Amino acid sequence: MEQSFKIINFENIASTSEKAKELVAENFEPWTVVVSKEQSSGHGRKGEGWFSPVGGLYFSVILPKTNIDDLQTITNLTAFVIAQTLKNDFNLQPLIKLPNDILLQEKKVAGILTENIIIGQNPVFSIIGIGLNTNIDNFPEELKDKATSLKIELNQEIDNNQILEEILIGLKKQLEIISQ
Amino acid sequence: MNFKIKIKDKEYSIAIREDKEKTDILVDGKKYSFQKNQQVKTEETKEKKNNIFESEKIKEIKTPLSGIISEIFVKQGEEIKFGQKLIILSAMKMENDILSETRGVIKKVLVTKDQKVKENEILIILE
Repeated sequence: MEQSFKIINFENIASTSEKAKELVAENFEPWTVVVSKEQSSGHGRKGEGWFSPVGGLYFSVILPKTNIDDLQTITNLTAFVIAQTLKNDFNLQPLIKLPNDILLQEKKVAGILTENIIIGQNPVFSIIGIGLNTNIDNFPEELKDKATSLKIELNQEIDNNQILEEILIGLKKQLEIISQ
Repeated sequence: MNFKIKIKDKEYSIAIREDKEKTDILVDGKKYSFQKNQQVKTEETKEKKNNIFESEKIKEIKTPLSGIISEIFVKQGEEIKFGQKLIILSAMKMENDILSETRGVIKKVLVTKDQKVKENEILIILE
């Protein structure tokens, strides 16, 4: 893994983004990445749950300070990086449902949640949380028509570490353009 | 010590005489005496400083983004600290934690959950 990322691995935490917020309060630097094998309270916007069993890839990245006008671009660029990685690595045709979701065969395969911490009128840092359904064999009944995984679509095991590295390198390349 | 100074084309003769108790400054022969250890009046400066302080004191918490109030964590009369989470604003499909940039006491929370707000709208007034 490229040395410019500090990756902190967990077995099972409530939420990688909540942990990343705690780390920011402890002065962890931008491009610190929190990874967990599973999440007990993985969530999207408005607290909506994100199914996070072992096998999937769940991580949150502490980003450098961004201009307020560029905040929305963070999510869009992240969606682009994930979609491009899936296309390049697995010859898939992902659809970006802007700004938060990546679909395969009209089912959700990845979700993005950008959270900004604002003091006064200025964002002081942003955290991007990503849930990618990689090696998930089965979804609960209520999600079966809405969600899919790379393993289900490709019928093969996915190397989570490799895909994490590719997404992080892609993210850094894209987001450094807009970061201060 | 004697010297001359020129202010706006007019030349002044200055003489400074100093002893243990006072300093005399003669400007074209007119004497100005200053007692040593005399308390220098500083009211004007103090007042100025107070004014600057007042103008910098934050009385309103505004939103830098348009969006919808997702959660409110504080209420009227509550004492808040710097960096305390006040509100979550959902904007552009992002969650934005609005933290306090000052310490103080909340006079009024002007918004409610699920309320739409516009950029620069006041969310909270401080005492």
